[in-house]
Amino acid sequence: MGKKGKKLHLSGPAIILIVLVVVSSLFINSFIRIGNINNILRQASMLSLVAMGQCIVILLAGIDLSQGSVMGLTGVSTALILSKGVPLVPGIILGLAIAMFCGLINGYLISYVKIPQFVATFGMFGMALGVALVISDSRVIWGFPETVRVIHDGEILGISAPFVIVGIIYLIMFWLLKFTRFGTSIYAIGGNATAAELSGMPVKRNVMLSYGISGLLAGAAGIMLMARMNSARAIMGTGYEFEAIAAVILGGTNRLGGKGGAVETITGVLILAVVRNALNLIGVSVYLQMVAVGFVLIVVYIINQNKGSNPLRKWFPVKNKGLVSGTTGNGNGR
Amino acid sequence: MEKNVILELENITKIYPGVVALDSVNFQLREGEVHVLSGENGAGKSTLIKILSGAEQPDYGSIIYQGKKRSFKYAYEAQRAGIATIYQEFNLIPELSIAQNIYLGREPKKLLGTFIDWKKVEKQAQALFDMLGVKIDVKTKVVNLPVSKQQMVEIAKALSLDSKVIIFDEPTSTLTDDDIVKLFEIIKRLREKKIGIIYISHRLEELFEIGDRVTVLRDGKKTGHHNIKDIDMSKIITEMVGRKIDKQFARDLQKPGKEVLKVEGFTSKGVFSNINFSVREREIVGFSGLVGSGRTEVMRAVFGIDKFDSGSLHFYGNKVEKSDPLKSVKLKLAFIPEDRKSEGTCLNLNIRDNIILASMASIFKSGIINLHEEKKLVTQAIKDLDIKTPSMQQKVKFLSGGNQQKVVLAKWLLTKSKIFIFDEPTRGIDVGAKAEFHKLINLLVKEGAGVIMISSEMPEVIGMSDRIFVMKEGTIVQEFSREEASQEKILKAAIG
Amino acid sequence: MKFKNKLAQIASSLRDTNTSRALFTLLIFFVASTIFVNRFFTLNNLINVLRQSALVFSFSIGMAIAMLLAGLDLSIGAVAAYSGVLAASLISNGYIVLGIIVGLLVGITCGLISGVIISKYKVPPFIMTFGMMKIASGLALNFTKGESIYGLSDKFRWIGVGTIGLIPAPLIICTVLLILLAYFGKRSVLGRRIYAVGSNRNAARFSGIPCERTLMIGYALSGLFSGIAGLMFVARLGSAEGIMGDGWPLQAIAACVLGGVSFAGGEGTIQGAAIGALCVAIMYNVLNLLGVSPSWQQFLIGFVIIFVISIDFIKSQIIRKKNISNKLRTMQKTA
Repeated sequence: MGKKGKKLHLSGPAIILIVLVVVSSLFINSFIRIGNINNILRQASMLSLVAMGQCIVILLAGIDLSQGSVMGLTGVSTALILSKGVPLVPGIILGLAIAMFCGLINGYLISYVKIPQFVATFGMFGMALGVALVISDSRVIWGFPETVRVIHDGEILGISAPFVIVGIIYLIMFWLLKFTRFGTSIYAIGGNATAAELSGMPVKRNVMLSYGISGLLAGAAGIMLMARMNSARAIMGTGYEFEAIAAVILGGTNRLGGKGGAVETITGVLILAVVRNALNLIGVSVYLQMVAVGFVLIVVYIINQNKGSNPLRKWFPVKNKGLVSGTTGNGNGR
Repeated sequence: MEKNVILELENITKIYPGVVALDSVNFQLREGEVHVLSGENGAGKSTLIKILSGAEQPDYGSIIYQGKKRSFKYAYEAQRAGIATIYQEFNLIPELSIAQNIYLGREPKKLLGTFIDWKKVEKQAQALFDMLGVKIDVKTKVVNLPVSKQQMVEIAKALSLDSKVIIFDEPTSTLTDDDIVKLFEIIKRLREKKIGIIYISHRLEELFEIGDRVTVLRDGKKTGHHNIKDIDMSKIITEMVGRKIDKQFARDLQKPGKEVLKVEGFTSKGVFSNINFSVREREIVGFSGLVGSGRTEVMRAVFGIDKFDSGSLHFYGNKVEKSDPLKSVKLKLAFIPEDRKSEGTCLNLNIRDNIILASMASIFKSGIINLHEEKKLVTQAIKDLDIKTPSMQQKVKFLSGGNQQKVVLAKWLLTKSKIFIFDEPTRGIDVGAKAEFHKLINLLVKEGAGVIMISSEMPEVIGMSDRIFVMKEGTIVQEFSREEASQEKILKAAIG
Repeated sequence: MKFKNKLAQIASSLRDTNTSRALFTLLIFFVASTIFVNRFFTLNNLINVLRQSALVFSFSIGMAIAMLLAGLDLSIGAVAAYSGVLAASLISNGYIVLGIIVGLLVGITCGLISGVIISKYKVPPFIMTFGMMKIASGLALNFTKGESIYGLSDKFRWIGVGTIGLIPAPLIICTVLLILLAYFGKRSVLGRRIYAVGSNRNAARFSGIPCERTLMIGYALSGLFSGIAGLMFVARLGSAEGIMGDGWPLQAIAACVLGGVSFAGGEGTIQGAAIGALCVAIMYNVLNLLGVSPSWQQFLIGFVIIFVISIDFIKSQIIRKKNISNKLRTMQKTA
């Protein structure tokens, strides 16, 4: 959210992040230690995946409330699949497929059946959670092969595996959003869906795919969490979608489309992670952190909104009301 | 088929519920010509455009494009075929750049199709603007552009689609004089490239500056078709409005009473300026003018829906500082909006709920509604206005347009309002209901109300009003008394 | 005289097609359950169902009001929890009346804050109430530090476990609430305003309705009823935990949707939500009797909501298309 017109490469949220890190390092002793930083980043890995998926959906002026349950469902399913002896890679692929399937169902309901997003994803939240509880019999799942822990504990060229995974996924998402027609269509649909449709873009298909990606990334986060905890529970992802929404909004992605993407999302994730960590080190209870995040979410949303809507009204021409007599308005009073 | 004719419409007819929008219209466009399409509001121009651009299908008649009969079921079919339409509301994505908008969905790729080649996109976009003779940075976000430049983006987009026909729908209504000069230069260049241009505008002076031929529509029919050099302004105006007014309007002229509403120096930046008028008891003040001239905006500000920047508002001789709908209703004002479906009624609620809506707080001061009394009032209202419905529990969305409008009026009658503002009260209503409505308004006036009527239907405005104000581009340009007014005079003032 | 009025009023509320459709749904649920599930139609079980439906109804009232305003309130459970724990801590220390008042005030305040932000700052209801849900939940959990609050006086607990004859107290309380709300729903200026604002905010505004004020009061009421639901729940449990109300929003949406209350706003009635609550209670009851695990129950609730909404939507699309083509046909004949 840098100044309009000027080519400032440091956006508002980026500055906030830097300030937070500096302040925390200065005032909190244990903050700047390598171990703590590592911790922060590791904790943030799961959220960064979920948030990236949520970002795409939010760019479409939508929302995905089902990510947490999909995380749980994927984690539990993958754990079960692996403990049945399926080798690591196919097992993970199957789990991810389940996750993507959930997302595509969301996308289908929202795009083709035109169910409001929060209803469809809220319903999926219930359903995915339900299925996860059923197949896991509400227990914690242990005893799957240790190999999966490589996702969390392994290293590639000296860098922790989660960072590599997140890094690769973010690079892919960055490319997807900024260098493909699919990506441009996401911004277009979020910015002016009618214009996007008139330009011949496959709006319905792309919206459905976007929710599929959101589900897929939630599933990936679920597997990563499973690897981290070496166990899986149906409810392990609960709350992540909320954090993800907060992260995306904090990062500066403008809800009504046009602004935002991989860079903004990771910034938001890090802001959240740093704030959480700092509050933890100071001794603020987990519950109050929940309150703080809820509060900040609303405030940032309000600020974001005011920034987003005004320029549009200034520059766009006055609506043309010249209709031929006989055609009046649209069907319902909205 | 004449030489060089690129687009032809034969006997195009389009019917909407209650009205014939286009009646066997014939139209012809040659390569490299600027063919102006002229006519009043509601004459059928927008419908014609919608049919040409694929947004609507004609009920009868055919489109012949490049020698072949064509039908366009979707907007982008027409676009892909080479017919581009530039509307007043631009179809651009605000947060994307000019270049991105032009090539939306068609971006050239590199590296075996894996990456969009943004450099190429920018280069090609730049080339288009060079062709148009416009200096612009194609990386600018559309939202940061002034309206005139946004329009050029649309034109560049049309060029990039290799359009053979470009339709301009009221292109100059939001442009400054300098912008207009630039636009005309661009149009001349397009002409040189043998692109056929359909140009819709109310501004007749532009017609003579840029047009080669003109076709005039009135009430859905073609009334004239000329070469520009063979015609003059007054002939066109006659063709636009020269209809016989054979309808009798039920108007019992009254002697006007006290002043109930006065507006002085009323201004809202960029929307309307220096509006001055007054309304007295027992008179109807008509507001005529082209769509977009600011009439609705003025009245919305008077009623308090929108804010105004300067000037003063007086109700019953008392100055009002700020107005808002609550206050206005308490002061016995009534506002019957243009769009009864999205602004006038709650479609999902029943007739009873709608009718009692504005008056329930003042009638039932305790906050509890006496159902028995409500039933009495509503039944009486339905009877008085002759609203045709099986019962008052009927949901408003199932009523006909005329009856819906009557519900809106009934709502305000129960508030015993003294000042009524009607915005296009009989638009989209069948002839019988229109007459009934006029009778009702006449009755209102007889009983002492002051009425403002915004209307684009000439016969209605002339037949009903005691005085008529004509607005153009946000200001009042002329006032006519009932005797002085004529269709030609009003249109001339509105266009002038 | 009053009885006749009440009968007439019940009859007129049934004329509302949404509510009569809900009644029809309830009938189907009931008959099917009686026929196919053995132990359903016993006095004990039916009383259970009624008691459960009273609970569901209590927290669905808030959701119904929000939905009538064309929004929704995801915070109902969390606000109930926060009200409940604060009230419980006071009650367990002997301050019964104060506890109840605090509980109600908390509910109203949370609701009011949501309402203000939704109406004045134009934050979409689901984001605002989602945030409020986390805030209230966090505050509740923080207050109890994850533990339960016990020791509630029996006088207070009567609200949840007491009976008058065979009828459980919560059922009586909810029936009273239902009658009051049904009566005032369409008979009060506020009620009509809520319907108007939800149905078409512009038209309401242009008719002189104070839309922002109506929204604020509406969400404040939702908070109030969430508070009441929280108190009743705590009274029944005998203890209060910060995590209470967790699955309530989902159930409330199910009850409202089954009861004919529409997300579009201005459609449906509180009576409908009550009918929907009965449907939800029957669903859970039947699933329990059949031995279905709680997890599947979660799944089914989500599924039912989507199913019902899709049907409703598809139906409205068909009706709209039929209307348009009918009109065109008649007009083309006369033109």
